[in-house]
Amino acid sequence: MKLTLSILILILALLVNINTNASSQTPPCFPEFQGISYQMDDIVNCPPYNSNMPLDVFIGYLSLDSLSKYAQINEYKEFLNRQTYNDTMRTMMRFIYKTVEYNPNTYLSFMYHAKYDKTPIDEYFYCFINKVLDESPSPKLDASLLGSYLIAQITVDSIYSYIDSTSWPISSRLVCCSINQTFKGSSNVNNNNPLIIEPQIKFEYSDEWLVNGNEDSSNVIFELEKNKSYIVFLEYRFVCRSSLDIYYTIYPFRSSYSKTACMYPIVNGNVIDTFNELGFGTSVNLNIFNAGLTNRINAIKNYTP
Amino acid sequence: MKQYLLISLLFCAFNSFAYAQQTNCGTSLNCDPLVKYPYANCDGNIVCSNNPLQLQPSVVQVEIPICLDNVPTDGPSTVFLPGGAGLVKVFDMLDIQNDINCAQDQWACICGKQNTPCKCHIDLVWSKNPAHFLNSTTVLGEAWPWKRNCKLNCKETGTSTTNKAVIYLNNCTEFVQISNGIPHKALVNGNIDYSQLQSNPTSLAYNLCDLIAHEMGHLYGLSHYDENIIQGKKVIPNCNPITLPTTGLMVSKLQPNNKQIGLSKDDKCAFARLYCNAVHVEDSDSLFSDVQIKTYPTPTQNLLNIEFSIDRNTVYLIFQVFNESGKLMYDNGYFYNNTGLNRITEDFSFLSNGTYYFKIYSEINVFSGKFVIAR
Repeated sequence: MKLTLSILILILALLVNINTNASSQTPPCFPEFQGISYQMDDIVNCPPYNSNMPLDVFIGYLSLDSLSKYAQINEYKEFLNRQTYNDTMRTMMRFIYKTVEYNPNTYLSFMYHAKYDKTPIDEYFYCFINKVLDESPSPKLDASLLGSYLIAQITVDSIYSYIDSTSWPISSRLVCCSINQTFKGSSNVNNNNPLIIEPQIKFEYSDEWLVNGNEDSSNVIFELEKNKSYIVFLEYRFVCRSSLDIYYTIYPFRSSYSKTACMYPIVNGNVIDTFNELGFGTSVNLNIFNAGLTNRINAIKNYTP
Repeated sequence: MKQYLLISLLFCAFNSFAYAQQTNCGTSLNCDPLVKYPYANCDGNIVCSNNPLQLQPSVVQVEIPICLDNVPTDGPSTVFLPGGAGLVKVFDMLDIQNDINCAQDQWACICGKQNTPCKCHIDLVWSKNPAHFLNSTTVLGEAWPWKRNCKLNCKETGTSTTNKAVIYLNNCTEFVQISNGIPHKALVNGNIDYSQLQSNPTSLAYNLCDLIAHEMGHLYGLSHYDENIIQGKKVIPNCNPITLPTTGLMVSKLQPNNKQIGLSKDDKCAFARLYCNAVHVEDSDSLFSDVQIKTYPTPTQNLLNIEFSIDRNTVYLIFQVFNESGKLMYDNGYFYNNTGLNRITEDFSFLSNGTYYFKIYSEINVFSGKFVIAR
């Protein structure tokens, strides 16, 4: 009886574990990796279509998959070069935004589901982000909205500093934070199961990302502080793949070339965007900022030519 | 030990032979005097100039030649890509030194410095760490030019491990995207032309010699001709009046699946204007002939005439006057369209009595002399 019960518990535990992705310090496929990493199931089908998928998400996956199979990357770049901020661009923005937002983990897994007969999908994705930076009337805001997997208001609970000595030292900061509000993506970065709420996430950044290029390393222009709140745009970054799982880490989104790595402090109820990268002003009331961000997200998601 | 020494000597001898094989080192480039190139200045901005040495604030200048030390810890040992009927080897770490030599010799050769000792050692680090790259999915390599007082922190001068300059080569898993042992993106040895091995490649193969030379260009203070990221902003250099080149290695994106490109004439000219002015260049196409340059009257009260010959149409000359302390007193540029004898006449009534030195820069040469003002 005891044995049967133990087996039952073990089976239940395994079943739960299938959907539970815990944070991991050392991915077995990259044991030298020193940063925080998360583990999740790899996708079974590629593209990861399902019957519940919204049409725009389905089209997003279909388009990216077709491009990678049938379009040379240079042809795609020439196509993008011919575009302005027009209906085509804005419609593509809608598809991309919704596809990433629908399930960030699945999208990450899809993007790095490498196959011989395909050009890597990330090439197409980041080319498009780059094009948005060139053409959008609010370039940094739109590029950050599209490229980020999780956009949230956070409060920093703790910061752990260490030197990541993987091949070359880099000053890393591991940030543990509580999520106060999400604008895109889910706070359940540890877990595919939407019923399990994870109020806290961990992400990393490096001091070296935040210094002026012509200054020495002591002159960091921006730092996160404990117990303070921020608006952050975060992206999942692929670390490695084992036979069944993939491992990823979370960084601030960097492909929009933000001087503060897409992290904006909230001081006295105002969002501080020193360089007015997002276009809402250098110091703007949090409620007004939230409304502006939400409006822009809705404008992208609901665009109809 | 003796054997090791012998191998080292043979290796050095081979390298010396390789240096000797380079042609036209330190010779004329016939650079177009109208073309301005983008340089990184000490403010962290990009400036366009056809005479970068005269810019204020000054542009980034380093001791040449730079040499790279390979740090292969996280690099691939060998790489195979689909080619022909099966797989072909496109990268071997044992060949990396050839790629390093290929890149650093090209730059050093421009000023004829290919046989001089390195003034600055920089590590070339293979990295699997995504934190080392702005976007490790798409960035091939990155130069982290830690600078202090506008000087590149070479290994000889860097004060700590974390602020020495370094060139990273991307070997992150998210970049190479290996599937069944085959990478989707790969840095391949400089002598490999992957397009000749695979007619319809799905893998993206980037020439390593070209990539290293590109990153070295940044260490030398050169910027992309087309697009740069400066303090969080995309900056396309406005180098009018001449359209910037779109070929060469200092463009922002190297194309995959190409044979080695090597430095273009523009790459070389951009470099030469920053580093080669002080080098005497033996050149049959020289714009100046020293014996044909003369200044008069000397001493002069106010007006100074400088006569010189040029032997091709349209040159841009920069004329500068320094006092005895080396302070720049006068700086002007001129276009000349006439071959043969030309004359500059300048009014120096604003200068006080004394001895002055002048320099005339063309795009490939510099001529200097002196004159006296006595009233």
